[in-house]
Amino acid sequence: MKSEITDISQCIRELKIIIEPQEALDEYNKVLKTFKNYAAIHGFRKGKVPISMIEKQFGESIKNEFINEKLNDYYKKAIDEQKVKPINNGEAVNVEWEKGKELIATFKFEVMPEVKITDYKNINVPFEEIKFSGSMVDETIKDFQNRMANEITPELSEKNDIISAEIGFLNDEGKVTKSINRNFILGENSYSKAFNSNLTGKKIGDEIKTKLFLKNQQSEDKEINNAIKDKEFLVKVNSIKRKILPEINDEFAKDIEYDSLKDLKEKVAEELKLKLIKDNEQRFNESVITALIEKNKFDLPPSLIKKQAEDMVKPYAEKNKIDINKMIPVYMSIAEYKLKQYFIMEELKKIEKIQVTDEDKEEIVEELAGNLKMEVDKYKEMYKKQIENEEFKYLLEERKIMKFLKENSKIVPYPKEKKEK
Amino acid sequence: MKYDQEIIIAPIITEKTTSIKNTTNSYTFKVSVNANKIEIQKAIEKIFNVNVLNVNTIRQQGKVKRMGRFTGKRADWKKAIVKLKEGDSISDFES
Repeated sequence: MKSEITDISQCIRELKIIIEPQEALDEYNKVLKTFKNYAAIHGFRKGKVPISMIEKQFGESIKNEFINEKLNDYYKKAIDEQKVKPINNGEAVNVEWEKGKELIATFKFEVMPEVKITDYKNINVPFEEIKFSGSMVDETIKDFQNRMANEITPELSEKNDIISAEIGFLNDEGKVTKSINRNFILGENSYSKAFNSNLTGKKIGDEIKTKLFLKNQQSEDKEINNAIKDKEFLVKVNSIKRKILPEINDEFAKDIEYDSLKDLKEKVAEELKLKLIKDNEQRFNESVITALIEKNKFDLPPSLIKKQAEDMVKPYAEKNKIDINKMIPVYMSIAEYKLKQYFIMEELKKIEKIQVTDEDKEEIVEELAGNLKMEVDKYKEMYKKQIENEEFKYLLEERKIMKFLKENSKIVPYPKEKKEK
Repeated sequence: MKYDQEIIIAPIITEKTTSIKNTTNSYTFKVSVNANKIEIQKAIEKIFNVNVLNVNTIRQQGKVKRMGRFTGKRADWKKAIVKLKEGDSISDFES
């Protein structure tokens, strides 16, 4: 048996196996003999059918059986011979064999890429910190206000009211042939301005004939195609809802369990500052990893990325009963990023000889206990399993690497076109 | 006049006929009940382009079969064992 390997890309290999004619024939004959024992042909007892007749009748099946049975063995043998470690099942892309000739099989498989991280010290990391501002507090309080809003049913519709309407399709005689229900905010929807003004000042139960879109407008409604969009529809108002926002004052603060408006503002500011620290740290880590990926380019096996995407999507798809195959392509780039991050981290651990000491563990446990305002010993007792877990160790290693990278990188502003809003 | 294809109905390939073929170069066929040895010889020579040395024929009685209270009989048929000249062969039998 001869075998040779060709690099197709950084992580895809092609393996060509050549089996000598006599060796292939011997193996084929073995398969043929097993067939002989089971072949049932009318006029012959089992096991008494001449081999040539079996071959004539079942030639193609025997050949396929031989290839299926033996190819796997040849592949395993060749893989061992070549000392390669495939990460997926090799795919036979071409198999050629005729009786008396040599068997030539070509396999394609994926291997782990060789990850070499050379450029990781003093790299430029485009990053800008999001700074705390008073407007953030106002926005958060406005969000609270929206959530505490009461809904009423006004007599006449106005801008910003939530309308629920039945849209009837009219035929040439003006009769409704089909109707659909739609909810929208008056004045803030994809329908035309004329439609919105026609619906303003209407009562529940009112019916009006109106166009939904302008001629040059593209219909965003799947049910209303562009051919009929500029026709008139019969719109019936089913319900009108209006949000009444509570006034922002001490009363409002007390309603959402704060002592006063001042207290609400102070606490929201405090929480936002803490959140911003974490967010900025997270964003910085992502920027460092992105910079490292850009500086140290390497390919990943497509099957590995697909598997990662599948693992990421599976719980969500199962929960929401969505076809997993439709979601995987969306998650492929995220999966690739996550895997590259993992490989870079692993490589950096080796290069920088990053190890987690007991002191490191102690330090983080103290920090975590402090966050929960708990005594260290009590925290240790409570989270004993988690602290001794491998995952905890991995997180600590990651933290140490990120710390190292932060100390060894140069923060630069975002390039103008990529500047974050 | 019978066509050659009417005379020779089908080859009979069984363990026994294969054995006869291998030992005596004789091929077995199901033939028309009305065909005689000469007709069989000529038909075989014409269809397969071989030289026939000898033809033996056997009339096989159709089996009596019962289906509940009804009895019936399968048709009688004729078997011909055709010996060929050494070196001649019929590809239909070549397994």
